[in-house]
Amino acid sequence: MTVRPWELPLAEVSELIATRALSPVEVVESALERIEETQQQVNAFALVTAEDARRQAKTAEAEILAGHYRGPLHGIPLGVKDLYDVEGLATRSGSLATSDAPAAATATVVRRLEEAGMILVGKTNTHEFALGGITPTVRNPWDGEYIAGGSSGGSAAAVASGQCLVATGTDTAGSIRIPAAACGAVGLKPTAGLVSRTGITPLSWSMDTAGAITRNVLDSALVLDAIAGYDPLDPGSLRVAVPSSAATLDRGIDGVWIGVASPSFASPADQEVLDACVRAVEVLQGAGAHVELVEVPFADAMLPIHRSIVLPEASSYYRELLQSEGDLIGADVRQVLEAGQFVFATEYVRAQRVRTAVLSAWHELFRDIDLLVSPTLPMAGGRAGHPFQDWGPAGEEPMRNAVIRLTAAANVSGFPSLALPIGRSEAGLPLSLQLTGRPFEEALVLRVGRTYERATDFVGALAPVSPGAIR
Amino acid sequence: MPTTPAHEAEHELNAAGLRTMAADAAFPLAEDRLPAVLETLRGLRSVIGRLDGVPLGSTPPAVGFDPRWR
Repeated sequence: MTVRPWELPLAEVSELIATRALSPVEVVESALERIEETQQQVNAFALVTAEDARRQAKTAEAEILAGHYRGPLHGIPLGVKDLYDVEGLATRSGSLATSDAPAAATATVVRRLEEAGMILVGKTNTHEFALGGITPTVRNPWDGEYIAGGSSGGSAAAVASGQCLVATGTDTAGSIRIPAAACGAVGLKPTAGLVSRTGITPLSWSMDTAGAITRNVLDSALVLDAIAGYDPLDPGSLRVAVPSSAATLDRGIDGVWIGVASPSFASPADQEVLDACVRAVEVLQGAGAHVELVEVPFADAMLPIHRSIVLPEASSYYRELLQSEGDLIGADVRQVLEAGQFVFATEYVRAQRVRTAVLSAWHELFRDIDLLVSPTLPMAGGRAGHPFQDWGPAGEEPMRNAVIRLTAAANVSGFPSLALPIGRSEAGLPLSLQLTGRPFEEALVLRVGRTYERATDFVGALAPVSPGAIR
Repeated sequence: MPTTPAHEAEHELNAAGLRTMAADAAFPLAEDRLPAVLETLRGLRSVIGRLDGVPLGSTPPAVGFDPRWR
């Protein structure tokens, strides 16, 4: 059977477009066909912009034929989380309570990707206001009985099922890495301040990070190179040198020190998750990395810090909307935002102060290691519709806590963190390793991910979405 | 890190207390909202309370703050 463009990895599509063996028109048409044949099962998209995409694809084709090839993202289909503004489209943030008025300007990240030649095919579903790690509206393309993760669940499901090659996400507690892990995609949360948040609906000013979900590590580096860099319109944006991550991707990892989070950090966790992480670390060790077991400082404090900061910030942002349109907000999100109104200011400031102690301890930890690894998710798939994760003798854990338990630390610290597919569970669900690096060392994090990608077959696999696969 | 009994007592909340707090905060809650918010807030306080006794850094990070910004 002939391979269709949506089945090809980004690097191959880019090469074919660059050599004019494939037109952006064919690539976009193929993505739209894939969306049409799988949207009903996965529901990754909140809005498909088919006609605009076809128009942009024709423009891209004309540019390339005229000799104006922009680079490896030119003509590549892009999904945008419906938390990002796109001029002319409403930003609904997964909610019935938000306005349907079109945005007046496009978010900086989307604008930069469009300048690199990417073609928007639609807006992806998010957990309401990005406040949750489940995204109940989206089904996991590997098995519909499991959560797609969130809050960028639509973006991860779209990429994993071949509906687009790249989709943007936001990460406040793990919202890029959690769905990437659940759907078997690559998700990078960049260092806080590296990527602009202008034009993205806030959830937590001091924890929000923008980034992307991709099929491969190489794609992640290409996208980061396009979106990273100072933006004067974002008060949290930092003026730092941004070396190309893609340029150093294949330099190997000889001599890199990897700290493996001690078992207590991930506990409780499914044994097959832990076993897969051990095997993945062995692959990295075989590629020349040094490995040592480390204790993660302040591990028990991460969730309390996170809750103490994010909920008051989110509750502040949504205060007026809660009062005017509260009945239109989903029950789970509404009660959390309402409860957040009553966190004391002193509790919020205390958490911010503990956060500085965390930062000091993490910088100390990273004097001895280059990278910290752990599972991304403690479970091999979270059951959809189950509010608690059952850990057997260890008891039950609220699902909303379980999904962020291992990812929120990188939001508290602001360090860059990558979710990397490392195989599948016995039930066929994706498993994921989390790799966290020093601030602004995305290039190293991605280099380690790329080394693993080249040494195994686990990264880049597409979910077999079909009526049979989605129950 | 378990929540201490002292912390539980300190933050013991009931519907009347929440109603008063909501009025004080100019964030009135309808009566039918009280049970759900109360339950969520108790859970939240139990998590937040785990920071009791955790070492503090010297100052809070002023993320994104720049005095030149206007």
